[in-house]
Amino acid sequence: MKFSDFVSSTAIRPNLSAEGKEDVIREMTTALVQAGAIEEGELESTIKAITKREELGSTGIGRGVAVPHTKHPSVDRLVGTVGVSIEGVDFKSLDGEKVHLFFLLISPPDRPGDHLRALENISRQLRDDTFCRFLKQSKTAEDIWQLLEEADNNQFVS
Amino acid sequence: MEASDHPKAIKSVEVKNPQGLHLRPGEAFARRASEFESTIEVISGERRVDGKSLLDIATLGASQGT
Repeated sequence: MKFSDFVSSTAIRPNLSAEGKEDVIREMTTALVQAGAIEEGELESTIKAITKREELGSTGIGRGVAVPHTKHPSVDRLVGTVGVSIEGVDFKSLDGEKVHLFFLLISPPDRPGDHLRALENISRQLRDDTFCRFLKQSKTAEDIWQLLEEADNNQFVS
Repeated sequence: MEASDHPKAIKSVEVKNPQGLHLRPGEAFARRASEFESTIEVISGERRVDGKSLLDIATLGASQGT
């Protein structure tokens, strides 16, 4: 499950303006709607589902990264996007640190394997400090997209 | 001290959860593992990771049946 298989390039946000957890979720989900990956009518119910999942346990997995996600019947394939917050957002992460890198994932309800494979890919890349650093330093959506493509070509993972 | 002097326990388990070893169970495992002093590793296929790290566990992508 490569990044290019599920990330909507036009939904990438290199400079999130949101300052709080709810706002980040809203900003990134809206980005997916604007990219056409999610229907506009499904925006609120998708945000609600993502928020509900966060209440079960923060997806701020530490090291400045969070992977908010949900299953949602309105998508027939896994869609996602990447957001970078320069200031950092308090996401109630497991290590108590602010989050700078966000990977939002929306998957169809009946395909848990896709979600797991995306998570596998994301976490493998994130274990590489260079990848994380370059991601945080990215200025444009295009920069981030190129970085994801390089990651897909195994430039970072040993 | 030689490696053979360190007591070791190995247990083979199968992932039953239809959603696989995703973030929530992974986090529960890592949190529990962190309570122990011993080194805890999780092995899936050829990958061998630190059981106390959620990020490491997530890299396994261990689906139901593995």
